[in-house]
Amino acid sequence: MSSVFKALSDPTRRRVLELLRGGPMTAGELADHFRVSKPTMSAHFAVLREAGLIASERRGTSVVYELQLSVLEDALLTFAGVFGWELRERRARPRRAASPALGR
Amino acid sequence: MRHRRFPGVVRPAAFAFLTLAAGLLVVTVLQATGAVGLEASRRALGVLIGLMAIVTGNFLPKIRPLDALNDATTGVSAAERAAGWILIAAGVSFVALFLAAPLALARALAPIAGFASLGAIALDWIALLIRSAVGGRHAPAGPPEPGTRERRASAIWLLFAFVYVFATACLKFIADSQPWARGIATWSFLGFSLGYAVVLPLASSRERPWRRIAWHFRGWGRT
Repeated sequence: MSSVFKALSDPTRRRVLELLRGGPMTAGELADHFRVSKPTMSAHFAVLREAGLIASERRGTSVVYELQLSVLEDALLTFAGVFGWELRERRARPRRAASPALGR
Repeated sequence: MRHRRFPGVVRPAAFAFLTLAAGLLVVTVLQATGAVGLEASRRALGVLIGLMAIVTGNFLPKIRPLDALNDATTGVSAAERAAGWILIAAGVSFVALFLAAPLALARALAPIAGFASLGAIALDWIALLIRSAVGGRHAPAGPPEPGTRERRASAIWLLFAFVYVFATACLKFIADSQPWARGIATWSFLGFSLGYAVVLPLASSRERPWRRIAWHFRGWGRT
């Protein structure tokens, strides 16, 4: 459960989840909505996937992400969005290398 | 990229469901042996069935039972989320009724909430199926990710098991005193087993079956 809280604590990741509420999107389509580098986006996707909040599927050369929230997680996302809930991420641990390839 | 789609996603839902089902069995046995009174056991069964609806509703959007539909059909996730919220509302009403209301009132109102929720979900999903078959735009077909078939099969099993328990309980609450109601559980089990046998191969087939069905009906929505 702590991985879910960690994933929802970041506004960029919450925005990714909000975008995916409209339907599955490729990594490239998602990245177009943010002014961050592709490795940073990949790291955000990795955190969301590790928390089980999104699922990924490779289609051709693209990676398609889709929402995978339980109702409780959905309510937590709404709650976090409404109250601007942000937690300071622990920087002590070295960040994992971003694994997913960005699609087009 | 690791091919690990929906890793173990059905497991917690199935575990919670089976635990509550075991609870139903224990209460039934305790009531049959006289260890628990009739009213207490009926209240406990109502609460457990409400909790079952809450658990299933919570995990429903995560286990993706409509995943076998055409990829490009809009509103699949929204329909699953709506179904989850509806089941949670029904479950909460079950728990509240069987904890706080007089038993006769709870047994009269709970089935209404139960059947209304199942009916609303069924109507929404039937509309989605029709939209998928008639007007769905098709995403490029690709081979399913490893583990997809198993996940779909587990999700379908969980959904059928829940609807069987929930619908049978609602029928029993309504018609328990009627003489024709004795065989409800048997007929219900038979009906759900047949439905499960039909739906499972479709939903867990290697290719998404709705693609083939939609191909035959693709012109209907535009004429």
